[in-house]
Amino acid sequence: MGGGLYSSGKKFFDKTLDLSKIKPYGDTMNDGQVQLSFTLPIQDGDKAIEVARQYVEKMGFNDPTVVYHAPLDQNFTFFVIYGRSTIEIDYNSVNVEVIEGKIMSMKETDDFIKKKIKRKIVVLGATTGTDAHTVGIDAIMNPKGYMGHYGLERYEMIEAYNLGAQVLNEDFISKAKELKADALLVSQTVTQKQVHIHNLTELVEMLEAEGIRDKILLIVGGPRITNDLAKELGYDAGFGSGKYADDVATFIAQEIYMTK
Amino acid sequence: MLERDFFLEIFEKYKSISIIGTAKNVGKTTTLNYMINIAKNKYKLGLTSIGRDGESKDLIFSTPKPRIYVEKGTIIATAKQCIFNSDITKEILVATNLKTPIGEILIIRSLSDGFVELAGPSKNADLLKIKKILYDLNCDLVFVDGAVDRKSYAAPIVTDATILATGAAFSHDIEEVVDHTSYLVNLLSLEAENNLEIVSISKKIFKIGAIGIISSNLEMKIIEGINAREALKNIKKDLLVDFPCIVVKGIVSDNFIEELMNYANYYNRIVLLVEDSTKLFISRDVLSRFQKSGGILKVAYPIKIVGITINPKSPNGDGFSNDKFLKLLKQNIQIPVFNLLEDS
Repeated sequence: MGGGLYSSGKKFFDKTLDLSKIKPYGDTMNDGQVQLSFTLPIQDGDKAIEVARQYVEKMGFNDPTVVYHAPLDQNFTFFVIYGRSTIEIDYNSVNVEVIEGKIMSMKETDDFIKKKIKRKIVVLGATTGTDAHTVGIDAIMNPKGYMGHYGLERYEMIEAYNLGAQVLNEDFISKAKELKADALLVSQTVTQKQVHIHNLTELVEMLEAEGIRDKILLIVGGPRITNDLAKELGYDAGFGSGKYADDVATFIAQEIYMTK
Repeated sequence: MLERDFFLEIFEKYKSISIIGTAKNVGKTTTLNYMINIAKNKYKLGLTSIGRDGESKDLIFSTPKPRIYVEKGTIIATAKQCIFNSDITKEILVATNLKTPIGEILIIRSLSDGFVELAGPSKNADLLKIKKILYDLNCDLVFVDGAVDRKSYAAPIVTDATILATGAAFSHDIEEVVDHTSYLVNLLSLEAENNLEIVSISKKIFKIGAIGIISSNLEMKIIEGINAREALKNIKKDLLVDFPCIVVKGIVSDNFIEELMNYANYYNRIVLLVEDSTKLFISRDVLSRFQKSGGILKVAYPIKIVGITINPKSPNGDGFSNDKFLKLLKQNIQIPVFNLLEDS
């Protein structure tokens, strides 16, 4: 050791992987190493470094080390800090319902619909209520799609209608009946405010009131949407970030095939 | 104890009871737990939820939630994923083939006391199937826990009676909570049409849709349209002179009533008859203007809303004085109001 030479002594690193006690992997199994980066609204300097170090310690990390710091301007400093997490998680206790089977490409979905459903599927998408964000619904619906995943409007066997933003639930349902929709796609940015939640449940309640809830596949999407939340709100599925038009199209095609 | 007797009495009268709420965190599951506790050893209990209940933390807001404790022998309809999270010993009785986003709904019997997570059917059509299975398994009392502010499962074809939970989580303004709660109770306990001939004619209209009008000598005309609002446009205004009862299948919204009020010159008094109160999406203001114009809102199938439970605390820490909240609600509402946490 020392003198800048490599150590050739035998080392006994932890190599056991225990799925019931998963920790982050840095250099060796179970070392718990985590890299954090954040900005504090204070001037860069020795005191700032110590403040940042203690802050990470307070977060519950062992041996925090400030490996990088830089002033953003006079009163803001950016830090990168390593620390060892002591928290473990049981991999087996986490349940995520994954859509069975693989996600089909646009062509595979079109072929699937042609062969198994034998007619075009009608899908309506909208951002409902007061929500004015169209980014989400456009990413799923627009022909050019998003991140290399073509949108539903490009699918040969999907008749897709993008109704845009701030659509009233009542009008959405009216359009769904008029166009005989198979699936409704609602994009909603759920925030801490219950108004978005209320707007999502109102759509479910109105579909029940109109007597068509069990005839329509109802899907909600948005950055904070999960299948758990979809269940609570009364939807058939929820698609969060990292899901694209092919995920949605695969789900719709397979569900309609199974329930037809 | 007063509320104990109250619940024992409604358990004798009704076979299926739903719990609805004005918002999240108003005490629906607390009410369910209280009911389970009173019914135990007396009834063969069947449980389900249209939402997701019994997990210790809320999935959206990370607020703490009450867990659900059942005794041995309880029959539970819940999604596959929740079964892994329940700590009872169980026997799987039926795989229903009804799907939710978190797995198929299974019917299980608890073979030990313990905590369960409930996530049953989301759709009324599925809930009816689950209810039938529970009855077939000899359950003589079925409780349906709710989700957020959903109410459609309180429809009388789905559950026999309903309990409304309300609380500070709906709004930080106590008057707003009391106003909203009492308005909701009024809507849910709307007068039933008692002319049996009109009810029998309206049943036909509910089958065909979208609107039917009934004359004083019980002649009926069907007005077609993709929904009630569209159909309304096809009614000749002067028809309402001779047909003073209008029956609507499906949603009745503020917009529908506003459009109906454009016909106010052609009626002095008009009865608007809907299937049941879960079809109404109308604000207090619009309803009151409709009533002033001579409108009378009635239902064909009344909901039995039997009681109110309250939670004066909100998950973000603030809340109301329990006594003031109870007093205000009791002044405004004619059915029993309880704080189950306070008195149990």
